[in-house]
Amino acid sequence: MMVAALEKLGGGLTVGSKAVSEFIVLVAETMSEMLRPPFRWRDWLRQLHFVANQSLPIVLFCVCFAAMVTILESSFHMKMVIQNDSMVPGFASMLILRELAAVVTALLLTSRVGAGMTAEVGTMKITEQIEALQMLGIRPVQFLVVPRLIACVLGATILTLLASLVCLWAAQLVSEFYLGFTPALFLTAMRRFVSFQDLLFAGIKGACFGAVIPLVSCYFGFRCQSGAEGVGAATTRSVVTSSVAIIVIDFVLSFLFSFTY
Amino acid sequence: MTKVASSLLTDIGGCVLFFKDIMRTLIRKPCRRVDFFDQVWKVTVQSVSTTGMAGFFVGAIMTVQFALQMKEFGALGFLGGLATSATVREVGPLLIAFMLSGKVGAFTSAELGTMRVTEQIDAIRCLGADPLQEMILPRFLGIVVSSFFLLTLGLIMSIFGGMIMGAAFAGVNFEEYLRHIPTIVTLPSVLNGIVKCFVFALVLATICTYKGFTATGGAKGVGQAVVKTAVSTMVCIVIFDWLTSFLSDITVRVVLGAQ
Amino acid sequence: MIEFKNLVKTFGTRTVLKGVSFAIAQGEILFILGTSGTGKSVLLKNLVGLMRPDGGEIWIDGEETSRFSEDEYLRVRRKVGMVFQQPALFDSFTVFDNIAFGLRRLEKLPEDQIRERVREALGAVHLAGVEEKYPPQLSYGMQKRVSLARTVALRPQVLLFDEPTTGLDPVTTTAVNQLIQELSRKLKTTSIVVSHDMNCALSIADRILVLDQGQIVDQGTPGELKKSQVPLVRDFLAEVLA
Repeated sequence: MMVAALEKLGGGLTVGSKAVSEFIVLVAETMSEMLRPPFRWRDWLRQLHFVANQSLPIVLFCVCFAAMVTILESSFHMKMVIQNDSMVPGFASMLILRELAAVVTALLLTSRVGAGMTAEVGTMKITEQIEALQMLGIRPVQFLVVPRLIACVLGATILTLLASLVCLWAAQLVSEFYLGFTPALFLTAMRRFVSFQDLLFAGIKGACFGAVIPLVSCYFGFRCQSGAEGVGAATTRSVVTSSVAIIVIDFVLSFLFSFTY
Repeated sequence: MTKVASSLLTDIGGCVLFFKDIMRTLIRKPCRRVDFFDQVWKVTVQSVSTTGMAGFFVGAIMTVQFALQMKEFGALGFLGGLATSATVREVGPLLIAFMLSGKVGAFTSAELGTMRVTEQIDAIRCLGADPLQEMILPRFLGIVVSSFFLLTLGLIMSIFGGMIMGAAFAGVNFEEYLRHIPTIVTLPSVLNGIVKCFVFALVLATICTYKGFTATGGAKGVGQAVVKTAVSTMVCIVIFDWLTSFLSDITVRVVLGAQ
Repeated sequence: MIEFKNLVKTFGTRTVLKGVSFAIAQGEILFILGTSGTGKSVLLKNLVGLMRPDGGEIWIDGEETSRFSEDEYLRVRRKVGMVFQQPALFDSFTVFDNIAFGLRRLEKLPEDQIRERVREALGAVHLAGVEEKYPPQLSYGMQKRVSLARTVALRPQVLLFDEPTTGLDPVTTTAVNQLIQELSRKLKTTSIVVSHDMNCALSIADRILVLDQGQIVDQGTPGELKKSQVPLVRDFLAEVLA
């Protein structure tokens, strides 16, 4: 019994550490391939278009709704704790800039772009397209991972910044119509809580999240098992791993940034 | 543009009709109890580790973000209460929904999609069973019911994470952190959280079973179904988050007005 | 016993079946031949109610079934068994439970009779002793045979085969074709086989129907078909003769 449990644990650890080491190899390979020619500008741009342009409407749409909820909820809490809601704009804009915009954008990108990448690379893997690439002398990591990584880092940064601004704007509109704050009041309250460096930090968060998504997605895509259930299973695992990784990285970054406020 | 709009409307309509079918099956011919408990167990076990971990870190993030502001107002004592209240009302249900949509939603649509493209669903019908009753309903109910267990777990873990960060980062000891939770987290807040969780679970369960059930076109089709599930659940959850907040706000105002 | 009258089926803007009419007599083995994507499988799925036609009628034993409700179709599906193109076995069930599934749901037999019927069905497809295995542990050819056993176990009066030999090696193909012939003769069932394998159609069919672009372009016994002047049929025959 005991021995069996230990064996199982050991087996799990072996598999886990092997997966981690394979992931690290993929990251290292991607980094070195990124610096080696040929540079496929066209692929980078095409991926950037897919990541940034095509996700833009959905991201902005979602952060606007998130802004409304934030305003509603912070006004609820403010009224409860300090019996007035004059701080709502400041508090809400702080939450939006420091957490909400970056995390919501990243989670949406995980499901739209990340899941799509895993499904795409996984389908290529099980239909032997990746082997076909190798036969043609094309390095799969350079061909598939590098453009996606560059596009995702750039795209996620830009999207996070845009989402932050649009989200703030939506929050301002909501608080004007819903709680009666004039734009001037909103901006004054906002200025007390946040500064330009918060926008900068949001951009950094976006870039970090953007790097996680393609690496995790391609890793699971390359390891896809054959058959109809293989692609689905790989996609599921990739979405979950990316989401958890994003939350953990978010915590680490928030903690680090908090020493500079 | 019109093409996108019409396919979007078709999707929404299909989803609503599918939900109606599920509800009718639930009333007319409920699934076997074994299948139901099986699914609840499977969903819960699958997501325990990710939900717990995510809950822990979200609690920690909330505390980090709230601590500085609270210090400024000299209200560090409220830290625990506020962070927990925000988690119970809003962040917790949202987090559970996101985690479930990544893990269980994607898994369910992959599983059902695979059954669809390998003709297993047709086979079920040919052998005289109703796939809605046998396959869809247990999964649907499993997701809805286990989301409550996971919500509870996520909340406990987030309080835990908040406590540890509060002590390490803001110097609020455990006792002080916990003291204000009962005064700030009121019954309406808890109800609000539960309603949200329930609504999200319904939305999530409907979308993932619908997308899986209607998948077409081999391994690629299954992959596409999973991607579509992930995207549309996220968007729908955000929309329904606003909707429930809005409605609960109105309800609170009406109740207060009546008093 | 089964008759299609002017059957029409469309997907979106594409019309897959453009008015197909034919009848099948009791005990006959009918092959429906055609290239991929001409609506052969759609024809079968319409017969058991997995799809509904957009026009025309389907008569089974003197009943017009195409407007049946899902529950009424259960009656049809007890009479008409379908073997899918893929094995379509339930991966989480053992072979025994896979075969017993229909017996439990459709026939509602007691367990000891089910055991007897499962053994009999596995015997009929020349597979024994795999009851406790799970489908992924079996080879593709064996999965196909289990799938056949699952349908045969219900003792249907009509058997539908959707491309039974696609993706199989030549040896297994021959075995499956022999099995179809053997089962049809032994159980005295009517069989409809959808296929693009002219060779086996010529060897075991009583009658062959050739479908192209959603319409019947030729039909007749294997002997008649060999003399056909329709270009598509000649192409099929050329494959066999070569």
